[in-house]
Amino acid sequence: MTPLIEAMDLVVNFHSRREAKRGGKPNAVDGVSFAVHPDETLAVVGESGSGKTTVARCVVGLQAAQRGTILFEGAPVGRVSRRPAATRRAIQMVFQDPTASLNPRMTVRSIIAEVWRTHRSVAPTDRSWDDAIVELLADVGLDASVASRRAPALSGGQCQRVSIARALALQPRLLVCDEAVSALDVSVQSQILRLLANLRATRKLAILFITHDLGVVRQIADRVAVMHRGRLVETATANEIFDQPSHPYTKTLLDAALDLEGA
Amino acid sequence: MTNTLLRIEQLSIDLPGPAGPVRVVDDVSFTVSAGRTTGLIGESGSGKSMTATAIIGLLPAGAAVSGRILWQDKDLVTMTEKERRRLRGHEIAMIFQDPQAALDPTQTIGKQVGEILRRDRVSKSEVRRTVIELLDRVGIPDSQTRHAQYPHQYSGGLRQRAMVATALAGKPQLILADEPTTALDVTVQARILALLKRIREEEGMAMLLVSHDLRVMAHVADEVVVMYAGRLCEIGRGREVLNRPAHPYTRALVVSVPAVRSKTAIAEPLPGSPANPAERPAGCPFHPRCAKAQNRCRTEVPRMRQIAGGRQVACHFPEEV
Repeated sequence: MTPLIEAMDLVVNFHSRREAKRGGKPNAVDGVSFAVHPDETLAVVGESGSGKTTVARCVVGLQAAQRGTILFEGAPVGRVSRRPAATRRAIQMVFQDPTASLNPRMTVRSIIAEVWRTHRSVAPTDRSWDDAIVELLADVGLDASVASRRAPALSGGQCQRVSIARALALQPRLLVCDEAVSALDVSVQSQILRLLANLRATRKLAILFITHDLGVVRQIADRVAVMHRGRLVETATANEIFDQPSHPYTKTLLDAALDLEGA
Repeated sequence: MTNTLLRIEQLSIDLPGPAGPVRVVDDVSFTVSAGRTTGLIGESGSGKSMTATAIIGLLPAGAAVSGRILWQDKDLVTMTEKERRRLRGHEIAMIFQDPQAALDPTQTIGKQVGEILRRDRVSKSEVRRTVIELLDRVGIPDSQTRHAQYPHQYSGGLRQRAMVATALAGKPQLILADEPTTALDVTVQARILALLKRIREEEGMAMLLVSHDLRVMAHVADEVVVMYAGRLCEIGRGREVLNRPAHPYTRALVVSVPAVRSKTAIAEPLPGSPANPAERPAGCPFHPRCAKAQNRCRTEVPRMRQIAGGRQVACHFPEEV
């Protein structure tokens, strides 16, 4: 099976030219390779500064890699501005801060309509946009009345649902979630996790899930990639990572994680 | 019997809002005992941070406070700002969530840790000696050089250690810690929690830990106080409350926490979002999200009452414990 997306030997650094001449700082992402298959959830875990967000930004095309290739269905893709529209649509991102990623001056209706104006090919033609928006909001568990509201009038969980609806409006194949549930209250977090799990099943979505929360990873990931200081130290199925971690850093991370039980 | 250090009685706080005052803390009573860690648990809008802020006396201007916050025999609510200043740092100290924001970027760490000592007119050499000792105690390596460095030269974990040292400098009897590990990585978090635990044991001081993180609470809190929408839900011994919650909200929180050491299914989510104190529903504030809600819950505010073994709960239909 061809992977949906494949990253090969990605290297990203944020050196200034002068720093590069001097030998520079360590690379933010240092030779990272992984693949996400259709219909699969791959979690990338690591601590702050491990490079996990930079990897996510490379996949979406918001960040150029100094070296390495990203293949989408076997074809190399570069920065988002150089990607064909179909590829741009196929890879969508949900950000950490639900209120900051929505324009506070736009209604939810216009936030979603905007993506259809940009990508006419996926805009609904068989029914009115308003009807399609209501349907889309229902898919993410939001009431039709939300369409006329703006982000500041919504709760964090509602904003994150709108972000997901905006991504879904483009019929993506891969959803990149960068700490998408980390800023939410625990009682809301499980709502969004359920939603992502359902969408994955009903829409055959692949998910690249970036997080530091190992408990969440255990609940939703098929495979896990562990990053440490820009490198991937271990990639394995979720069961292997949690039951038989092989890299010492993975063991350190698991040991440090707290559980409610066994305190 | 344990020695009560801080007694909060019927505390209510109103903050000015665009549509009139909003009651962000409503009729909250609990105690903090000497030598114990009390955990204040809640989600956004629960009033947990406001309660802690009221104790240290840093509420925003315009806040109206009623009820009593008894520190030994003094009421912190009616205390003058001058008296409160004397208390702050010496008797009650605070550790904030974001050490980056709480530390002054233009002052050396040593200067900030020693600020309270200089205020007490301790000699210069004595201040230096104490500061270095404090930095050693909280596990900052190479304290001889590190004390002269600025916050930007510290990592997040070291900054939080410096905050702990600052809090310890005045030899307080109570430390208020507001989400002290939320901004930290898991490996760093574990070390800071161990540090707080060790310090609390060595000094015999009390700690009021404010957090939304039940996993942290399970590890450090002797007693927990659960708040929702500005009101109390449940009070009891930490492990007992988290193992066998009596309030449906505590129960929902507990089952929402995913486990790392065993695979758990994604919890059956609660409907809706945490109640906004500005639009607190009638009756029990949790009733719109509660699967067990009856008619009585929609009209009658449940009062805190004793159930078994020191457990208090504000629910008309609590779980058996």
